Amino acid sequence: MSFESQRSEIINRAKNLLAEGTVKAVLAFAAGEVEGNAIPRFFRTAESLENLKWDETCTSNLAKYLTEKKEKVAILAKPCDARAIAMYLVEKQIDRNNVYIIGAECAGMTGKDGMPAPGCSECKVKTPPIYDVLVKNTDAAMGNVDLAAAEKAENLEQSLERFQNEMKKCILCYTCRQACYGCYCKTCFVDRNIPDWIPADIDMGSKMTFHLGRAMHLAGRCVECGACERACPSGVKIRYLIKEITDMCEELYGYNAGMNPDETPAIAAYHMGDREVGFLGGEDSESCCDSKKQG
Amino acid sequence: MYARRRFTLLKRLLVTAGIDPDRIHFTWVSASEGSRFASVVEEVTEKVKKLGPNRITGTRT
Repeated sequence: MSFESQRSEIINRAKNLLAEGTVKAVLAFAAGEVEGNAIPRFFRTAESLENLKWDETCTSNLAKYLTEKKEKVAILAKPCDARAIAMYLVEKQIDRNNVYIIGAECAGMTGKDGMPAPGCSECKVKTPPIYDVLVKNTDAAMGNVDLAAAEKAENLEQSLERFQNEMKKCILCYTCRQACYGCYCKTCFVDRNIPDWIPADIDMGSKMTFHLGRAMHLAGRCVECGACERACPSGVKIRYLIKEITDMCEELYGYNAGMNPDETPAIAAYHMGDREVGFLGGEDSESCCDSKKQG
Repeated sequence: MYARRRFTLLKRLLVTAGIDPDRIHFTWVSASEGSRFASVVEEVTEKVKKLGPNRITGTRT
């Protein structure tokens, strides 16, 4: 119902943008070859826009397609896409003048099993943080699950068991990296062979190195779109690992990725009063260096 | 100072993954603080030795 009315508004906006020549193409969804699948597509003519698809299957994060574009395009942005766009602006990956954002309020998308898609069940952002025009949705947002609280491990043993159980499923195909908006490096650290971070076979150590490394590279940058878990062919539930740091960035540094394109990311800034828990010479340490602690 | 935030987050990540955060250490030592450098190195070595090999299973080595 609300998707239908949003869809016609999106198509009208898109048609006008193409007719006025404001943009060369509109990036949105079309029906995929498999029934019930929505695939990203650049629409270039008013007629083709009739094929625009906007329903609960439009889960992909479209922002990823913007980084290689040289021409001005409009993008249909859910809150998570808009947060990714905001992060691209923060990290100077795209030019704001080259993007026209059609923000769409989103009540959450549905996975193939009919359940909320990964990311949607915990999502608390219903309205895109940045947009040029907003298409409203009257439905209430889904977000009521607390991913961090669910299955909280009590000690290091349990944490390691949980992590290794997920890692057993991983086949190191790097699809999560390909799907992630934040992984746009031309050469990923795992593809480098000097030094050889990840040997060319599937080993628990390699898998752990990859996922821990990726989690650190996403520290304070994850926009919680859930693309990694949706893309995973083996069903690895990896988001909890990154979610932990995302939550910590909010808790310690008051930073939420992609909510404000003018804000400096949490790990590209510092404050003299930042805590030093667990450091040598840190505030909770019984280190021999305490007496020589520098001011 | 940037590193402080990174290491704070890294330590939390290691706890979440079930790896003892005491396996990594971070502190500031000036080039003129030779004795402090030595004591830091000794302390780190001692702590890591005490922890022993990690309990990660399924690796080749």
